[in-house]
Amino acid sequence: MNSNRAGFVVDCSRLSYISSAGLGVFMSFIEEIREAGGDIKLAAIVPKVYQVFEVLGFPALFEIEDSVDAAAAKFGKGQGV
Amino acid sequence: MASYERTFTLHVPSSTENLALIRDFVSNVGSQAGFGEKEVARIALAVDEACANVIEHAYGSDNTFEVTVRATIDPEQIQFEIIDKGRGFDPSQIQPKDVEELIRQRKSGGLGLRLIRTIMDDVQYQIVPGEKNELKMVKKRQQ
Repeated sequence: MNSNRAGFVVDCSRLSYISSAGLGVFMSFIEEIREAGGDIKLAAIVPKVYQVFEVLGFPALFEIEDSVDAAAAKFGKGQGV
Repeated sequence: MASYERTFTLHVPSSTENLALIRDFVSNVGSQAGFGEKEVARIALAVDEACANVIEHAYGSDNTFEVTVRATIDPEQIQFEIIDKGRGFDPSQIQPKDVEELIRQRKSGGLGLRLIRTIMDDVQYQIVPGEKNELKMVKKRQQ
């Protein structure tokens, strides 16, 4: 994470299942990325997977968009995606 | 409603490769019990998390042991018992941390117990390390 203000879009469209181990990966990196001025945005999560995020309150902690394009558009100029 | 009880049991080797098999088993039993698709997916997740804990922590990822999942359906609820003979730990002694707190600490673990307790209505443990550890969790039918 050397680049400042790095913006990550995670395309979840092909994700059919996620458990706490997978959620933990996002959880362990987000603070470091945000401290550097960047963010992780999650995109195109199928309903079955979304409800796992929902159980843990992730939608309040991570920005989730309907599509990769919509998530990428949320990043301002100057941020690498 | 007539009183009834049906029990289904699955034995699998203690490998995370079998978690998908366990989820299929739970989903099939949950559907047969009449739970909705969304509820079944949540219950399967809770049982998956409990079995993953057994495989990784009670058995230390040694796949030569066995995990037993027993499901019991009755008119009021569905109950799952996760049985192992590994080195048990007592999760009831662990206070699940808030997700915000885990993020601040940059932790990747600690979510499984929170998921189980959030999804299921009742969770109980009987721990006899090396002999028999049993996790019972119940999901009540919505009235």
